[in-house]
Amino acid sequence: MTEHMKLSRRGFISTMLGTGGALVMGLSRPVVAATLGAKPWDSFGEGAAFTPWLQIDPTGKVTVYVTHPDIGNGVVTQACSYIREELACRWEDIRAEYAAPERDHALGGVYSEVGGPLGYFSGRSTFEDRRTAYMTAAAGARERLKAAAAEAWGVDASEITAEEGVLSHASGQSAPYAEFVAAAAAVTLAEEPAPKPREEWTFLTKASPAKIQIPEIVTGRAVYGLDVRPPGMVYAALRQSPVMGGQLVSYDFEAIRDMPGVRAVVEVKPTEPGEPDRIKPAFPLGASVTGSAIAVIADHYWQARTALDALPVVWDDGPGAKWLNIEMMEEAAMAAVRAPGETVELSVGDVAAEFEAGGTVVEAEYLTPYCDHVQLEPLNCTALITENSAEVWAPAQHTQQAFFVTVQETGLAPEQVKLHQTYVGGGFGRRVFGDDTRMAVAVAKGYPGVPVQVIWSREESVRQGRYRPLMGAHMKARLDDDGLPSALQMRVSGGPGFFSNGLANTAFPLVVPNAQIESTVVRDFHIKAGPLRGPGYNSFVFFHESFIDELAEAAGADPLDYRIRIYEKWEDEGWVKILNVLKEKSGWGTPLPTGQARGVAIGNWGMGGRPQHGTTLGAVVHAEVSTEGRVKVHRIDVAFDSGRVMNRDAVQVQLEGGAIFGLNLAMNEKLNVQNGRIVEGNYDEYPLIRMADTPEIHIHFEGLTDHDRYDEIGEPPVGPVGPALASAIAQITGKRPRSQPYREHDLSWGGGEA
Amino acid sequence: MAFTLNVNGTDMEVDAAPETPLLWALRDHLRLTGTKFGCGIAQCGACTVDIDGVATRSCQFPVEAAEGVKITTIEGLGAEGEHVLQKVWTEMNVPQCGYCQSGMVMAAAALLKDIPEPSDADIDLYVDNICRCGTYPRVRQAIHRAAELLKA
Amino acid sequence: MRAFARWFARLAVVAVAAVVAAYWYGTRLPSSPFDGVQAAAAMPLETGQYAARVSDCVACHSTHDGQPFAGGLEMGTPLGSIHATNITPDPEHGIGNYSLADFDRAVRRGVAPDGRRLYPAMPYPSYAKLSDEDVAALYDYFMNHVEPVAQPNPPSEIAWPLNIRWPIEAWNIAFAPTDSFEPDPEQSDFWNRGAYLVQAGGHCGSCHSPRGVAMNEQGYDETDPAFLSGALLDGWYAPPLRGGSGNGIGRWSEDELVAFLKQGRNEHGVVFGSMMEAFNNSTAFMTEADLRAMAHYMKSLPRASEPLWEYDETTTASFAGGMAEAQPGAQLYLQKCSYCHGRDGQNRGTFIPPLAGPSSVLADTPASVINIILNGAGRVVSDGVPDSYRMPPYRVQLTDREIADLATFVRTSWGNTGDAVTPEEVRELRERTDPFSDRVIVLQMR
Ligand code: FES
Ligand code: FES
Repeated sequence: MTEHMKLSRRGFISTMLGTGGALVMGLSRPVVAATLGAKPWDSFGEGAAFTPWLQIDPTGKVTVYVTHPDIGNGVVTQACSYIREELACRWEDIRAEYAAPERDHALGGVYSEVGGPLGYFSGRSTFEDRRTAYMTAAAGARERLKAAAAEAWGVDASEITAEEGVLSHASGQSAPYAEFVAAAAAVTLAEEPAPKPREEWTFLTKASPAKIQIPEIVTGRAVYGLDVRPPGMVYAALRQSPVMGGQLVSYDFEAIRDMPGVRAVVEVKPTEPGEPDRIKPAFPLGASVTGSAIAVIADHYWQARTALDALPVVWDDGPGAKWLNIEMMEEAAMAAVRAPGETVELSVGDVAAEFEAGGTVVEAEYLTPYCDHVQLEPLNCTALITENSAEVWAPAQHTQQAFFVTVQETGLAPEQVKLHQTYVGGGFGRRVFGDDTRMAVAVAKGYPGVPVQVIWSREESVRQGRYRPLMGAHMKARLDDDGLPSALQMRVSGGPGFFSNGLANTAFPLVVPNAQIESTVVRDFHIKAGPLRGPGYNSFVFFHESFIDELAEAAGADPLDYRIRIYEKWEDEGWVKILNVLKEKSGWGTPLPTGQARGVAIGNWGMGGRPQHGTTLGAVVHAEVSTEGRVKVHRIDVAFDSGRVMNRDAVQVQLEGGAIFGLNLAMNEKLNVQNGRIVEGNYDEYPLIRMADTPEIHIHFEGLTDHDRYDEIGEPPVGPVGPALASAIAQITGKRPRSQPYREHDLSWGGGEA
Repeated sequence: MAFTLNVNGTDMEVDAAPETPLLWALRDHLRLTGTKFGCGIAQCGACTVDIDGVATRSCQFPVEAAEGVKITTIEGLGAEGEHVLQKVWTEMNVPQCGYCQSGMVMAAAALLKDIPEPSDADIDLYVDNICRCGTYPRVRQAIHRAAELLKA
Repeated sequence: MRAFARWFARLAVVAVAAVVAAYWYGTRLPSSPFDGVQAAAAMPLETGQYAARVSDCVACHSTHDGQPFAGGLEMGTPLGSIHATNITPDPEHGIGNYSLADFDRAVRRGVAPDGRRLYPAMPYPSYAKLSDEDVAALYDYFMNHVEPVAQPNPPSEIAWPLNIRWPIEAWNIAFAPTDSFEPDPEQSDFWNRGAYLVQAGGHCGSCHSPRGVAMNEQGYDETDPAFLSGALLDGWYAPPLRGGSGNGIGRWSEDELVAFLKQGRNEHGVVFGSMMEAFNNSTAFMTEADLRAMAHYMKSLPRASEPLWEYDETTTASFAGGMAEAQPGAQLYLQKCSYCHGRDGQNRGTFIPPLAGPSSVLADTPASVINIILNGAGRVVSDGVPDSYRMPPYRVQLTDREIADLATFVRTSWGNTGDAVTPEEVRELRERTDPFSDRVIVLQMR
C-alpha cells in the first residue's frame, strides 16, 4: 500500500489491490485503523485502514463511492461526472454506491471532511471541495493505469493517451483499462496528478448526462426506504400524538391482540436530545427528538395498519390544543409584527427619521402558512436492533445524521452501528434531521432481534411534519421623489424554529439607504417547523417582492423596470442581467387579452449578504384569471445566475421542478389547525399541481454571468414564482393576494359572472 | 385467505385478508416493490398497475377482486428496460427522485395503448398522477417522443 | 260600538281560555304504563345495551370527541340550532333523577318530566312503538351501565317566541302516533320481528320516509305506501327500503341486504353519508337473526312500479380511443374516477361500489351524487376495524361546474337514468356542507 499526495490534513490518497484484482483509489488512515483490528469491511474489499472513493474492477467496471444521497437532484451523477472527466472511462461503465458512514466514522471522517458537516448532505454536489476530491482520486487512477501500460509496452507513460476506457500509444499498442487494473494497483507515482483546470475539461460542462440511476427507477428495481426487505422483516404502523407535544395516556392492546398477523404494540416515550460525546452531528440532535408515539407490529403492513386503526388509544393533547383554529395562530403571528421586534436583524441608517420626513409611505402585511413537504415517499425507516448491534436502512437526506442519531438512540458504540442509505423518494428538507430514523430505531428497540420497517401512513407523514413555518410580515417603506424607497422597515414573526437567518442577507434591504429588519418568535406555537425547499427564502421573497410590486404601483412604474432601478444599485450585475433577459424573452410588455397579465419577481438563495454568491433567479409568470376567479398559469419564464453550470440539462430539470414547486406553494398549499391538530392528511385535501395544471416553462441560461462558481439550483426558483404570480393576479383583478395560498382568495372580478 | 393472482404472466399465491389492497399484496407478499405507496387513497397514482389493459390504482383495489384478471406491474412492463417508455425516460432524464415514476410510466403505457398519438389534452386526462418533484414537462415531452418512435 | 266591545271581550275570554287549555294540555304529563312502577332489579349489561344499539341513541346523544351519551351534538333546524341532550345518569345535567315513567314519557311521548315537549328531532313518534320490555331495558342501561358525565346541556339557539315548547303538542296531536306496535297476525313471527325493529327502534323511516309540510313523516308502518319510499334529508338521498320489486334493494337478495347491514357493504353498495353513521353505530352491532328479520320485512314491502335499470355497455366502449370529443364529464371521469371505479362503473369486490345502477344514482334528486363527490365518505367501521376504501372528497380540487359535469356523466351512463346536474345545485350543497359555513347542515331531523 502506498501513500502519496496529501489530500487533506488527515488523509492520504492511496491505492490498493481490491477483491479479485480491482484497483481501488481512496484515502488511508493507518493510525486510526490500528485501533480497529484487521477485520475487513465486507462491502469495501479488504483492508481495514482503507477507504475507497473509486474502484475499477478487472472487467473495467468503475464504482464511485458517493457521500451525498440523491434525492432527485442528480448529485450522484455529478460525482460520477467528475470521475468520468479525469478517468476518461466509458460512461456506461460507471456505477455508484453510497459511502458508508460507519466507515467514515471509524476512520476519522475520511469521507465527511470533504464538505464539512454537510459532507453527507444531499445537496451541493457542484461545490469545489467535492469536485476536487473526486477528480484527484480519478486522476491518480488514470496515471497509474498509464504507468502500468508504459511499463508493459516499454514506452514513456507521458506518451500514452487514455480515452473511453482505452489506453493507446502512437506505436499502435492499445488495450482496455481492464488489462492493467491489477498492475496499476501496485504502481507508485512520483507525484499525484492535480485535477485538470477548467479549460481542459472535455466532459464537465460539455456533456449533460442523464441521472445514472434512471434505468433502475423505470424498471422498478430501485430500492427506496420502503422497498428494503431484509430477511425476517416485520412491519410497524405508527401513530404519534395528534397534537404535537401531547402524551400517550393509555391504549388497549387486548382489543387488537387477536387480529391477524399482530405481534406487538410498542410505545415510544419522548426522547431528550442530549449531546453524545463521541459524535458530532451535522444538524443539532435536538431537532431529531421524537414525541410520544405508539406502533403496532405485524407480519404485514396492512395488518399492522388495520390493527392500529382499531387500537383504542387515549392521548393527553397538552398545551398545543389551545389553538382552536389556524386563524388564532395567524392572528398571533400578525399581532407580533404590529409591534417592534425582539431581535434587530439589520439596521442601516435612520429609518424612523425618514418616516418622519413624510412623503409617500406604503405599508402592507403578508402571511405565509404552514406547508408540508408531502414528498411522495411517506416517511419510513427500517431498523434491526440487538443487544450489541444496530443495522438501519434509511432514506435519509443526510446519511451521517441518520447514523449519529442511531448511535445516540441505541446507546451503542459507533462501531456497532451500520447504516444503509437507500434511494430517497423526495426530500425537500424533510429528511435532514433524522427524526424519522430516531423514531424507527426507538420502535425497533421495543421489538429487538428482527428488522422492523416503520411506516408513516400518508396522513401520519403529513400531520407530523416539520413544516414551512407560519410567518407574518409587516412591511413599511417611504418613497423618495424619484419613486424609489429611501427607507424600509420589515417586521417578521413565526414560531420557534422559523428561519430568520437569511432575512437580512438578501439584496433588497441592502440597497435601500435606511433599512431596519426585526424579528419576533411566537414562543407558544407548538407546531414544529423545519427546512422546506428554500427555507425562509420561500417566504421572504414573497414578502419583499410583493412589496416592491406595491411600491412600483405607488410610484406609477412598470414593475420590471422599477426592479432594474432598485437592483442596479447592488454590486452583483447578475440581478439586472436576469431582469433584462426576462424582459426580452418573456414577451414582457407585449399586449395580452383581457383577463391575462404578466408578473415578475427576483430573489437570491444563498448570497449571505455578499455579491457574486448564491444563485440569483428571476421569474416572469403569465397568468389568466377568469371572472369567476379561477387562476390558470400559462407560462413561466425563468432566468438565473448561479455563476456557471456543470450539467446543463440537470440544471434545467431542477429549475423546471423548482418552478412548479414554487407555484404549488403559492397557489395551493396550506395546513389548517383544529384544537391543536393538523387537519389535512392527504392529497385530497392538500391539492398539488398535476399535469393539466402545469404551465409551459422556459428556462433561460442567458442570465449566467460566468462568475467562477457553480451554485445551488434546487431552491432558487421556489422564491420568485409565487410573488410574480401574485403580481399578475393583482394586475388582472385589482385584488392583491397578500397571503398564500392564493386559491383561498376570492379572485372574481368584473362582476364575477362566467 | 388464499388468492391466486396472475401477475406479469405468472400465477402467484397470496395469503391475505380479502380487503387487503392489491398494492400491499404486491409489495409485501409478492415482494414486487416497483409499485409504490404514495397516498393509499387513489390520489397520487404511484401505485398504478395495469389490470386487463386499464391503468388502475392498486391501493384501492381489493385483492378479493384481483383473481381472474391480468395484472401487469412495472416489473412486467420491461424487466430489462426494453419498453419504449423506459428507454425514452432514461434518455430524456425524466425522473427526479423517481418515486412517482413507475406509476407515471404505467399510466403512460396505458395511454399509448389506447391512443397511439396522444394530444396534450389526452396526456392531461390519462396521466393525472402526482409528482412532487415536478417532472410533468419532461413526462409530457417523453410521451410525445415515445409516440413518435412507435410510429416510425 | 258597545256590541262590538262586548263581542270582542267575549272573544278574548274564549281565546285566553283556549290558550290556557292548550297550555295546560301542552304541558301536562301523558300517562305511562310505568306510572308508579319501580324499576326492576338491574339487568345484565347486554340487555339494555343491545336495545340502545338498535335505537342508535349514541348517534345523536354524543359528539365525535365527547363522552358517550353526554349530548352536545348540534342539529341545525330551519329556526336555529338545537343540541341533543345529556342522557347519562348524571343527576344535575343528565337523567339521573328520572323515574322509569319519566324516561318512558321522554322516549315514547317526547315529554320531559317537567312537561316540556321535546323537539321532534327526537324520533319519539317511532319510539312510541317500542315495547315496554325494551323501554325498561333502555332505562336499566342508561341508569346502571352508562357512566354519569357532568356536562351541561348547551342552550338551544332558537329565539323567543319560537322556542316555546307547548305548541309542539299540537304537532304531536296532528302527526305523532302513540299506538304501540301491533303484530300483524297474518304474518310470521319473523316478519313481525323485522317490522318491529324497522318501525320502532331502528326508526328507519326518520330518514327513508318522505316528510310532509310540517316535517312529519308520511306513514309509520307498511299500511301507508309512502312509508320507507325514499326521501331527501340532510343533503343525502335515503333510497326506498321497499324491496318487493324494482331497483335498489329490489335487486338485492335478503342475504345481500343482511351483509350490507352487518358488514356495511355488499356487491351493490357501501354505506355512505348518514347511513354510514347508522351502520357504524347501530346495525353493525345487531344480531344476524334480527338483521335477517329486518331484511325479510323490507323485502316484503311492495313498491310502486318504476322503469327497471339495465346495464348499458356503450358507456364503457366509449372510453376506447381518443377522448378529445367526449363530454367534459366523461373526460373528468376518466381522469379522476376511472382508476378506482373502472370504465365499466362496476363494483370491485365488495369494497369499491358500482356506479352503474344504484338507487342513489337513479334517484330524482342528485343530492347524494353531488354530496359524495364534494365531501367524500368517512370510514366504514366493521367489527371495530375502520376500512380503508374511503371515497376522497373533491371539494378543493374540482369546481362546481366540474362536479356538475361529473355528476351528470355518472347519472346518465351505464344505463343510469338520472337528470343532468347544474353547477347551481352543486354550489348550494357545497355551501351547506361546508363546515365553516353558517348555513351548514349537521342534522335536520332524524
Ligand atoms: S398510493 Fe395509490 S394512488 Fe397513491
Ligand atoms: S420524481 Fe419525485 S415525485 Fe416524481
